[in-house]
Amino acid sequence: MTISVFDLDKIVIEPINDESSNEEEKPVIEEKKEQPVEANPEEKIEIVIEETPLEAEPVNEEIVNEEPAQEKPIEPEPKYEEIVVLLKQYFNALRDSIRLAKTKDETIVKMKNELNKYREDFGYTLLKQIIMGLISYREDAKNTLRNVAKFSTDIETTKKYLGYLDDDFVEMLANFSIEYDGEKFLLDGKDLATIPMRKVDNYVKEPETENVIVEESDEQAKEEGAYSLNDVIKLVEENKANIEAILKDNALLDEAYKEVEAVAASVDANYADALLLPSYKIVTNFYLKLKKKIENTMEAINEDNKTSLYSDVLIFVISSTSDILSRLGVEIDIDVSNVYDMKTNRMLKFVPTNKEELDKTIAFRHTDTYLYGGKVIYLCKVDVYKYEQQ
Amino acid sequence: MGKKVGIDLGTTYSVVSYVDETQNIVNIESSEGEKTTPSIVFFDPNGETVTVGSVAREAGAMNPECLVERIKNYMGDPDYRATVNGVEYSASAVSTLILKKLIADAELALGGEEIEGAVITCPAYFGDAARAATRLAGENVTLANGQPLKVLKIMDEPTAAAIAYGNSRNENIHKTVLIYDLGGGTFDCTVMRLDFEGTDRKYQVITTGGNHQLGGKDWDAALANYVKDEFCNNTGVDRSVLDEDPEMKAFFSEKIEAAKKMLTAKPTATVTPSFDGNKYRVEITQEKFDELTADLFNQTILLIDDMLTKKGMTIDQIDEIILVGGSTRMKQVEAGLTAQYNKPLVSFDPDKAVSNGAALVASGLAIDEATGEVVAPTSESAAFGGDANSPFALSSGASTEFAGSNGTVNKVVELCTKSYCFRYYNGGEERYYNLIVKDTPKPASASYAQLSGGQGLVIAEGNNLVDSINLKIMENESLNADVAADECAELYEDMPIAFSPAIPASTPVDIQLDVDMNGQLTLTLIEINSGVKHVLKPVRKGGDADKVGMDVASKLTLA
Repeated sequence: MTISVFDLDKIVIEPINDESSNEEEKPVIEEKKEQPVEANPEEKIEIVIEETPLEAEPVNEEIVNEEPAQEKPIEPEPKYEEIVVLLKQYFNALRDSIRLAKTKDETIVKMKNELNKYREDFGYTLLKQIIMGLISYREDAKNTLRNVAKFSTDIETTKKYLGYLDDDFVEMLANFSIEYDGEKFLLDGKDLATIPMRKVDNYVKEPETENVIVEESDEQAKEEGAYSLNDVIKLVEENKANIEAILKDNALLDEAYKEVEAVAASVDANYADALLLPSYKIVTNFYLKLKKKIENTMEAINEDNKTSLYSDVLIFVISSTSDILSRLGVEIDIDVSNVYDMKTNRMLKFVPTNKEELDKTIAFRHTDTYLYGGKVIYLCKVDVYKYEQQ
Repeated sequence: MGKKVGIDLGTTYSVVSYVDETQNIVNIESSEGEKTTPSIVFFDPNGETVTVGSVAREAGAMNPECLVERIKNYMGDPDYRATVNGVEYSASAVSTLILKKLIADAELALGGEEIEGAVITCPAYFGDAARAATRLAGENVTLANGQPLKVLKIMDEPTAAAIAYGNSRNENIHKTVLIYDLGGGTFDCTVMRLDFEGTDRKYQVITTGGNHQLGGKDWDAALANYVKDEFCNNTGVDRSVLDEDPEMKAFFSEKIEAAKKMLTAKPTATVTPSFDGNKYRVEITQEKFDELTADLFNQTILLIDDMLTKKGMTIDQIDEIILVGGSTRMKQVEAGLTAQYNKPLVSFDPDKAVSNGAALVASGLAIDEATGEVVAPTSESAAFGGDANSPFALSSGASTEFAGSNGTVNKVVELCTKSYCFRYYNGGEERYYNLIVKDTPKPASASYAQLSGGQGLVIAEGNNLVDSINLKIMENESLNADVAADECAELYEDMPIAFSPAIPASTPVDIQLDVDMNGQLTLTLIEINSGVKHVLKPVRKGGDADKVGMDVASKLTLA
C-alpha cells in the first residue's frame, strides 16, 4: 500500500521576500537570504516545522510568475502556527501509520506463512495418530516375523497370536473412533461408507486489507517538491482520508487476523474430514482383507504349516502397511547409512567389538526409520558396536 | 527493537514463548520441530560440544555418564556438582547450556531478530539461592550478537500461569485460586489471590507447597509395573530378564506413555508386550489405572491439605482450581480433585501456561539503554511503539506492576519464600529470631524492636568495650518468631561489624532486615543512642559455587 506522506523533516519554509514583508520579523531559517531576490517559479519553497515560533507577519508565499501577479487575487496566508497545529494533529497518526505500515506487511507475510505451516502441520497432526498407529503395528509384525518360529510353537498359540493381530487392529481403529460391528464400520456412530467424501477447498481466506493508494499526491510531491503553505494544508487535508484509512486498516488487520484464526479453527470441521475420511477408508479396507486372511489361515492351519502360514500373514501385514503409509505421505527409510546417527537412530544397546573399524556402526537394526515431510517421525532402533580394546 | 521472550525452564521440559505484534502469544519450536525441549544435556566426550534436548537423550544412550537430567532440582545447592568428562559443573552452569539451546532456537525461529531479554520462571518455593542461581544461568548465555542475555526478571511459575489465565479473562474477578501444577517430574501447589476490578488487576501469592520429586513419570512407572507383572504372570517370563532387555525397555517406554495418553480420551487401552516367543494382551481400564495410581494422586491431596493447614486455611476459602502442567490431562486428576474438593476446575494449555505468562510479562518490559536496567516504559518510548501495544509493562519501584492494554494496571504481590532469622543470646543461651517470616509480601522490612514490642537488644553481655561482633543470619521454613537452630539452614556467611572506637557492650541496638523485590537481603545494625547504622549485605555461603564450570560451559558449542 502506498501512503502519501511527505517527509516532515525535509519541509522547510523559506519565505519569499516581497515589499509587504518585514525582514526583521522573519522566522529563523536555515538559508537566510540577505538580498531580496525576485520570485522565481522554479524556486523551491520549503517549510520549517517546530522551529522558534514566528513573530513575523505571515508571509505571502505566492509564487510569482514572470507575469505580474497584480491581476490575480492573493490568497490569504494561513499563520505558521496553524500549519504547525494541523501537522501536529496528524503527526501522531502518521508516525503510527509509518510504523504500522512497516510492520503490517511483515505481519501479513508472517500470517500467511503461519497459515501455510498450519495447513502443512495440520495434515500431519490429523494423520499422526493413524500414521503412528500403523508404524507401531507394522514394527510389531516385523519383530514377530523375525522370530516367527518362536511365536508358532503350537497351533493353539499360533491361532491365539493371529487373533491378537485382529484384536490389535480393531483396538487401533477404536483409537480413531472407528468401530466394526461385524458388518460395517462406524465413525462416531455413523456408517463410514455413507459419509460423503469432501473435496479439500481453499478454506483459508487471505487477510483483507484496504489498499488506499494516492499515488497522485506522491507523484505530485516528487515532481514538484514545492509547496506553498496553502498547498501544505491541501496536502494534509487530502491525506486525511488516507490517514483515516490507515487507522481503519489497523482495525481491519486485527479483524482479518481473528477471521483467519476462526477459519483455521473451522478447518478442524471441514478440512479434517476431507483429509481423514479417505485415510479411514484405506485402513478399514485393509482390515477387511486382513480379517479375511486371518480367518482363512485359521481354517487352513496345521502342525506342518503353522509357521509358514503365520509368516504369510505377517508379510501381508508388513507389505500392506508399507503401502498405506506411503499413500499417507510417509517415507520408510530402509536403505540407510551404517554409521550410528543420533538424529535418526535410537540406540538400544552396545555390542562390544574388538574391531576398531566397527566402532559406532550399526550392529543390528530393530526397526526402520520413518519420515514425514522430510522430518524423522520415528527413530530407527539399533544396536551399536562399541570398540573395546581387549 | 528486538523481542523479549518468556522461558519456562522446567525440570523435564522447557518452553519459550513471545508476544508478537498482534498481541498473540507464539510458542517457539525447537530446531527439532518440537514445542517443548527436554531439559537434558549431553556433554560430548570430545569436550567441545554439547547436545541439548531430545537428541541429547539419544546421544546419552551411547555414553550415559555424559548425560545430565533434572538439573533444576539442584539449583542453588552449593554442594552439588555434575562431573562430566573430568569437568565439574554447578547446576547453574548446566542450566546455562539448556538456556543456550532455547535461545539459539528462538533466534533461529525469529529469523535473526534480536532477543532483547528474557523472563525466566522458577518454582514459587525456590529460595533466594536457587533464584540467584537461575538468574546467573541466564546471564551467562551469549546471544548471536555476542552480547549476554538480559535476564529481565525471575518470575514464580504459578504467578506466570495466573497471568496467562488472567489474560484470557475480561471481567471483574475476586477469587482465591489453587494452582495445581503437575508436570513430568514435579508437583507444585500454590494459593493465589486474584482481584480484577475494572482496570486494576492484582495477583498475590498466598502460600506454596509441593514435592519436586513427584510427577507424571511416577504414573508411567506404576502403569509399566502393572503391565510387566501381568505379562510375566501369564507367560512365565522372568521379570528380571524382561526388565534388563533393552528392546523391551524401549517398548515399554513408548507403549506405556501412549497407553496413558489413550486413557485421557478412551475408557480402555491395551498393551501387547512381545518377548522371547511370548505375547500377551494386557487391557488397562480407566478404573484399573486410577487404582494403580491412587496413592500418587493422594500424595498431591495430602500436600495441598498440608499447605493449607500450615497457612491456617481450609479448602472452603478456595474458589477455583487452575490446572497447569501436562500431567493434569489425566482424567484421574480432574475427577479426583472434583471428588475431593468439589471446586470448579479451569484448564487452559497446561503445557504452555507458564511460558505464556512469562512472555506476557516480558513483552511489557523496557530496558534503559544507558544503564541496561529494566525500567517502566515512559509515555514517550511507549508512544513510539516499543511497548505501547504490549498488554504488560513493568514499572520500576517497590511493587511489581504491569500496565496492561486498555489502561489495565496489573500488580503482582510476591512473597518471601523463606523465613529469615538472626542469632542472639539470652542469658548465655544462643537463640534465633525470625525477623521476616515466609509468605511476607515483598518488599519486606522489619526490626527486632518492632516485633518484640520494644524489648531491647544490646551488643553483648557485660560491661566491656566491644570493638567487633559477628552477626549471623539464617533461612528457615518456620512461621514463628522464635525458631530452633536445627530448623535453620546456615546459608549466609557471618557478617563482622567493627566498632571504631569500641563501644560499651551494653549499648542498646536494634537489628533491621530488608528484603527487596528481587529477594536481596540487607541487614542493618542500628546503635539506638547515636543513630549510627551499620549496613550489611548478607553473602551466601558458597556463593561462587554457582559459577563452578561456568567458564567451561560458556565455551562449549551446541552440536
